[in-house]
Amino acid sequence: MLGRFRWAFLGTVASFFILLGLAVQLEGVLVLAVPFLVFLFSNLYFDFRSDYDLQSERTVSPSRVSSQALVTVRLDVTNRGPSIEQIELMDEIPSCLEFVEGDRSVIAKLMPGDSISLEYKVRGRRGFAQWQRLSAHISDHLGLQRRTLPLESPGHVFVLPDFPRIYEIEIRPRQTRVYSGTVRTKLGGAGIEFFGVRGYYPGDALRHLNWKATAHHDEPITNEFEQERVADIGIILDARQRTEVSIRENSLFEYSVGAASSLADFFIARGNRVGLLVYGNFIDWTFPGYGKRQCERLLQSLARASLGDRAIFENLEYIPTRLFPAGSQLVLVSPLVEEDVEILLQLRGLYHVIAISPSPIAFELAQAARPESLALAARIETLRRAILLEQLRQAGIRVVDWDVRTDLPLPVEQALGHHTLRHGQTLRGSL
Amino acid sequence: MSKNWARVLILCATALTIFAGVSGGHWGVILLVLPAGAVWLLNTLTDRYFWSTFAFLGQLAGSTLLVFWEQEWTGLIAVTMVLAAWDLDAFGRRLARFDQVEGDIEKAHVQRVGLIGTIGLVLGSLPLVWQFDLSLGWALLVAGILVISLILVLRGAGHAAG
Repeated sequence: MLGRFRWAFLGTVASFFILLGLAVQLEGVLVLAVPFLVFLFSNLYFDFRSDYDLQSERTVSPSRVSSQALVTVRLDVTNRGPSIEQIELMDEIPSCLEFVEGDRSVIAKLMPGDSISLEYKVRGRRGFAQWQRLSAHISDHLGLQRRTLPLESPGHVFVLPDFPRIYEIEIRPRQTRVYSGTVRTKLGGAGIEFFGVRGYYPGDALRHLNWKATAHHDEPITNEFEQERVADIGIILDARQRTEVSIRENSLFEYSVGAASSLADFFIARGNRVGLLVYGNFIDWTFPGYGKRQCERLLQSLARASLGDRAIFENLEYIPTRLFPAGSQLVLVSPLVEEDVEILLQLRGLYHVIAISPSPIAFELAQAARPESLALAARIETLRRAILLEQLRQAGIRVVDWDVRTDLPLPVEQALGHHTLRHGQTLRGSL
Repeated sequence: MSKNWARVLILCATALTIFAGVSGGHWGVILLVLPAGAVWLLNTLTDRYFWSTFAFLGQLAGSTLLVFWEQEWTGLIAVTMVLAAWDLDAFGRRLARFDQVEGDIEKAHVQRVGLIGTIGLVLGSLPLVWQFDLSLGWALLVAGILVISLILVLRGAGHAAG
């Protein structure tokens, strides 16, 4: 009970004694009001001023961490104005962070020029934690007068998603960019992998002469290699609430975010131009780019990603295809629902599509207290999902059915690795 | 420190009220003041401010009864102690919410409450020892002078305390 409430409460008690004393005409009862009146009047010597000047500075170190890593937050508040009898500072911690140790609230007296500091440690789950302002309450000793001063003390920390590293994904988009990279283009030229032979032209490297073929054809024949270039890659993260499964504090969406992070890291590390679309709450688009800075942008965007339940984004049909160059590689990370098949088939007409689908069935079984009780339901749902994924595979979409109980690299490298691609192409007769 | 002072004051006020009531032959005061004191003492160990306020009101009621039984001095002392205990208890709770309490803020608060309690007691005792007839105009003049002096005294005390 502080401020006006305290005034009102004590004033009521004092008034009660005065009224009672007058009513019963006993000076002894009137006298009981005196300590209360002294208490209330004592407040008059404390004058609130309008020129309080507090400056605060927040340091968050480091401002970019992985999940569960410790972050140190330090707040320095300096009094540039008149003396403050009592100041209360209490720093609120953003919801995605968890307090670990230290001081995040202080009560102190601040003389002009004095400073107080708070320092504490937090750790967090994936997310973007932002501090805007700090509430400072100034009051007198008895708590009868109280004023709140909002103090601007901005700060932020990105808690980046945890992700395992992927070492092998073979992609073959229809279009590549002009810069050399690691994506094979089905075009002869400079490269590593043997592509074919052709007649020697002056200027060709002599070390590439195919001596056997030269001897056989009686003219100089040179080896040709498959050109390797960088590609445009669009990662689409499905953030629709309808595809989310969450049990207690575990969320399937977090697995999707982790997978998208792994993919971003992998494709950027191989020199590709990567963009990210988080589809759910709104069109959260990270413009494509190259390099470590782009990787950081993508990871920060993924750190911020949250689920959305906008009706307009209920289906994938509003994916803005203009954002992705025609013929580029799309990687959709989504648990997938049956209505998505048609949209994906349409996308397949324009792009090379890979779908990485964390299995909601495996996730639920992993979280269930008694998974054996769900065996029959799981079998039915697994069959339905198998049919759904098979429809996509038959349309030429490469699908990874990810059982989230296993690490992502294993199923990804099994389904999308170099050997799998060549095997698939051999079966289809395109190699 | 403030919580310890609050406990001491609660104990003293409870004991004083019971002693005064019982010595006057009013055993019923025990039924009101003892539970209130006990509840309040127990609540100084917890964060249930709500019950402390009820206990505070119970103690005040007990002290008021003493005045009705012509023990004005005891009633005034008990009320002052109860008021100081209530403030110190609340301040102790307030401090407990903070991870860091800088400097001698608690000591300064206890001193301030002690000063205010003493002034309250002195001013309250004046009408008990010194009674005379005043006209309304004089009464208003005296009241005004008292209020201004009170403010000046407190302002001086506040500056002296820094």
